[in-house]
Amino acid sequence: MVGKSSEFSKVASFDEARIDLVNVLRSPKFQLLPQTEEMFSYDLRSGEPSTKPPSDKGAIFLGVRPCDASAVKVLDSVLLDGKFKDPSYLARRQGSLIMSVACERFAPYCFCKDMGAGPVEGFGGDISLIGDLDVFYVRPSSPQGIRFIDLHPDVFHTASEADSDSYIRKRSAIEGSMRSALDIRSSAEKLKGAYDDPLWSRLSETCIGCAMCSFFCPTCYCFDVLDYAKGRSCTRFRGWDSCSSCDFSRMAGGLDPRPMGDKRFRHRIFHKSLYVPQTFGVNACVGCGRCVSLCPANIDVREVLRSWV
Amino acid sequence: MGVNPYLPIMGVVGEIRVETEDTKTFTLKFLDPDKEFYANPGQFILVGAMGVGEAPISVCSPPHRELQISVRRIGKVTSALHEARTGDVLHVRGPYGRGWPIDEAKGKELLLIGGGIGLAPLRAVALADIEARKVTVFYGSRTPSLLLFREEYPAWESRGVELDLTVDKPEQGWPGKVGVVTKLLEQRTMDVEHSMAFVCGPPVMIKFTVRTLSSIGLKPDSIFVSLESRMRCGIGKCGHCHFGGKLVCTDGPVFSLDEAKGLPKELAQF
Repeated sequence: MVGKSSEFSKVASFDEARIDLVNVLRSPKFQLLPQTEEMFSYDLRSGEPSTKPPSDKGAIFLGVRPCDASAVKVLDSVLLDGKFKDPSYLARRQGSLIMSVACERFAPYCFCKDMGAGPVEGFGGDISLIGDLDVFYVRPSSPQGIRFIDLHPDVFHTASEADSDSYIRKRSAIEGSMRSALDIRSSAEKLKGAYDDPLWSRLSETCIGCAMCSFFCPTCYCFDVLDYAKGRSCTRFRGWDSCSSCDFSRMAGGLDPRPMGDKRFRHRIFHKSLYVPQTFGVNACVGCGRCVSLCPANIDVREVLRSWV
Repeated sequence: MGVNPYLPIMGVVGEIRVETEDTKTFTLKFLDPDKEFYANPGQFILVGAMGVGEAPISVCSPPHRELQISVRRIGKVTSALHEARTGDVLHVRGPYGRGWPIDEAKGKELLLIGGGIGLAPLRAVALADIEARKVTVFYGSRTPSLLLFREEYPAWESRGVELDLTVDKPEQGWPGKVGVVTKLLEQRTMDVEHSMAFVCGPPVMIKFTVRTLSSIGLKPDSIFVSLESRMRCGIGKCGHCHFGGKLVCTDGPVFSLDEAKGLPKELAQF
């Protein structure tokens, strides 16, 4: 089960860590892109903005699941690729190391394998591990990961031939133990022709627009911006927003491209499966299954995607 | 660590011109005299009202001239902007987005087709030094008193820009045309092979204008539309203006008709 209220937090020793969870409830997104955050403050008269250095400079995330490590790659692609870089995310991300651990147990809602985001390694993170507390097989997957391993020769040892063999055995055993139920490529392809399908109104009928799926989604990155004035200064905050919320796309004056729930529901699926891949080159669903397990209306995104297969 | 793209710079309100009952044009100067600002016609800036927030607004002045924006009072931020007086400080970020392809208009007959506040980003083209063979503005508003930039029309005409105006509802003394802007286009004979159209206005106006332009023979790669969406960051991060693999803020707001046809119908219908 997703651990009740479980999250990543700083530990003084390994004994404090929970290692028995299939996954944590709160993915590394909660630290890397916090739910609310001060962007800067400014003087209401002069307009002069002032920034504070980020309070959280990042951390080593140990025990991230491959799905969530892949999700960090999605956040990286949106927030750091291209001409503009998100400064506070960049600072935390540069100070962080994502160490994922392969999953050996799966929950009924897990579908990382279908999304190419697990269960051994995802498509993100810096170092991936397979193993248990006695011995971990380690593979770096980014320059930061390689550097970290080089810097800690007391912890990491070069694998012997026997190690490599048992790594490969373990890896294929894990991969074989997880069922694959959905062909994501063909489902994304089918979605392209499903924009006008009347089925959306039935699929979205029970959605209450609570945005639980977005808030716990490890890749949902959309944010709103709010100015809060007090005294002579004003603080500009940003906070998570969700395309499931009813005013997400509403413009001043009331014009709204997605005034009805079925359109917002469709957009969320399209955004994950088509728009983010088209714009940022990365699939925005990693199959962690949080939206499936947490939806108060029992909407299962896998069933939605299977509608056109 | 590089520049923080969310930090605005300070703009000081200069001249304020009341255009209509709900629209004002503001001239902005930068507090930093060394600030170099260049906006391609069709680009927008995020304008911030102190203590209220930011809104995306098209630049309506041509390049190499003082920055001007025309603001229609329609929501929280724009209402606050309307309270601004000369000398007040506003926040400015940008310019952002992709503007009109003015270089492609070289040697062509350029049709600037606007509805309502949609004339603002087209004014930046009408007043720019471009090498079009001919520039014609087709502009429609609800009533004659809602026509933007009225006092400038003689100056536009003396630049060689032809104006063709229409209103939905005439007021007393209106000598001009009545009807939708597409009617103006239908009444024209034009060299469609060598014409190019820039269109900005409400979604329904854009839809029918594009339809008319296509039916009179303009090629899809000669028609460009400026689209509107809610946006927060202006730089492709906040997710609000993401439609069909395109971000209105960085890929747009100007799209060719071919590109626009690939966008989901909820944003634009052609």
